[in-house]
Amino acid sequence: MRRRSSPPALRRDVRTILTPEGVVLPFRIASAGERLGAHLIDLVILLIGTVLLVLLGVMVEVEGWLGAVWILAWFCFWNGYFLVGELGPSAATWGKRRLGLRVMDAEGGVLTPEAVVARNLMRNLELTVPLTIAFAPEALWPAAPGWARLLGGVWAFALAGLPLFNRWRLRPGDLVGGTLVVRTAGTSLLASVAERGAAPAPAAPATPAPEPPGIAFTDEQLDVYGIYELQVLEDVLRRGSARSEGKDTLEEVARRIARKIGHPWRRDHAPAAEFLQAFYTALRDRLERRMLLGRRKEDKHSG
Amino acid sequence: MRDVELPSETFRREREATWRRLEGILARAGRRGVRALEGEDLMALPVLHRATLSSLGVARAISLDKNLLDYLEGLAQRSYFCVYGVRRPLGAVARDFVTRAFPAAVRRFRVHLLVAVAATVLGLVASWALTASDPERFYGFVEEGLAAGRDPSASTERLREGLYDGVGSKGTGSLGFFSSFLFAHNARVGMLVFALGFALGVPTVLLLVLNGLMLGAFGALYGSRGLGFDFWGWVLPHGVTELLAVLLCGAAGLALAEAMVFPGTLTRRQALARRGREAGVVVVGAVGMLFLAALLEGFFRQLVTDASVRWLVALVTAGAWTWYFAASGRGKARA
Repeated sequence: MRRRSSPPALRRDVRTILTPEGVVLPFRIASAGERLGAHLIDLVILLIGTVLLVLLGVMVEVEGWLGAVWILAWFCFWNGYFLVGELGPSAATWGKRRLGLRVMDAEGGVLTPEAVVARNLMRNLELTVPLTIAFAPEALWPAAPGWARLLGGVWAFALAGLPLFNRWRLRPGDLVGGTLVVRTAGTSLLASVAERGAAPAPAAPATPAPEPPGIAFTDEQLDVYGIYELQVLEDVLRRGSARSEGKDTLEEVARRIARKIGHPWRRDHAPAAEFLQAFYTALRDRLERRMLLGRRKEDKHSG
Repeated sequence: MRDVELPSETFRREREATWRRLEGILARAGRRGVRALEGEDLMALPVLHRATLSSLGVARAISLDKNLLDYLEGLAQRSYFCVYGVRRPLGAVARDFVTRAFPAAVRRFRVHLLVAVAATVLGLVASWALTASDPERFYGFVEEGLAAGRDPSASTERLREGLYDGVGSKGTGSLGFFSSFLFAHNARVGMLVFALGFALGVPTVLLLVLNGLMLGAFGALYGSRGLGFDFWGWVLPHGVTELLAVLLCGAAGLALAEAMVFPGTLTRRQALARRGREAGVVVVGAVGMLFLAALLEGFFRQLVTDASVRWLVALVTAGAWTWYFAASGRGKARA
């Protein structure tokens, strides 16, 4: 299982930007599959538009001025579709938007129109040339010898498949425009899993409210697990609280934890959810305090 | 119930209101971006953005709540795009492009332009000399489809007719059709010449030389029949603009190649990005020039058949482009 607590800078699919405010902000790079999917959706839209244009041309019998407008419309549609999408406020064509992607500047700056234009001018090379070589090689280079055609085909498809060969999934257009395609999906803020604590009271003598005896843990017990296990437990508790059949899993987890750390918890002492929540809060408190002192314990194997 | 709240929970409780407020602003901005926001939201956005970034920094240091960290990262990313995605209005961009950006970019690429000119001239001179000494070599330089009967086997009279073919019964509508077809075709070729610069410029140079070869063969053919003045009067009115546009696309492609081969002090990726954006500006301008050239080729050439007028227009366009690229937009800062 991938370590969720690994620093963003070391993960393959993350580009970290240092913002002007001095904070490191990670952006998740779109995978090759997502980019391909978005491109396919865009191609389908282009195809539908082309078919409509052709039908229009056939029905209206284009010639003369109408023909001139029709040719210009075709040209603008094919070359402008991507531009219009990526120059807009969401910096994405419909295909990209559907998959939750957008274009950004590779260095983290403002995405300029020049960059968008440059990245789209290369589409000729990536789209048109391989297609022409595949289906109509004579159009590009008439009377080409067989080996040259093969070589040309290999090179064209290598260029078109460039995203597969580099870490950030850059195609030639991204290289020339200095752009990057990233995911935009975010998470929503859920209620915290930790136990509610009393807010720090103002300095005034007051009779402390009678507290129910909570489940206590010793320091040795809390030193068994690290940050990774804490975050797995957070996940388990969230899922457990959302579904009714999570109760069994909670009991299993509680039993395993109690056995591992040597805690005398039994099912009849307290409900598993309460035990796990108490353990989570205590563990988080301990790990956060240690983190503040500069000692991060990544998982149960590290020191 | 614990004695004391976790410090990270205190932090979260205190800051949650600002995050929710930022979420609300981003939701109101929606897909349209900053332009959809009202005055108060607009004033609050940068402040809340910075507050969220600082919350992210603090949360990373003191909190181990995975959901909170993921949420703050996502929120910071979204507001980052909103704050730094501001765009200039289209009219200002277009005006700046025409008066400053395009000529400045062309000036920056003058060395590449010279190389492109050299490649074309090389092809031109070579094929001219070869075709002049042996007219049959014409077929080696020009494909049959392009020649459309204008080859050494045609009589001088037929060649002359081809140069002065008037409108006849076709009407201006078909001229418009012809113009737009020429524009679309030339623009595609120009963009491809630029994009092929990615292949280290080799195909770009080849295409430019081929272009020159073709021109030279035609020039030698018409020259040998004594139709030199008429031929160039037929080609140049639109040819100056069109040839210049193709040369600019070639120069842009060579700039890409230069960025890949000689990145200087930058990494290849950074050099390519920087050059690519400037080169993209040049190509967009070249496509505009091809539009004008197509208009000239489609309309002017068919409607005006006097050789001296054609030459005059050719010289005027040459002078105009030279003045535009040499003088326009000098000394102006970026708008």
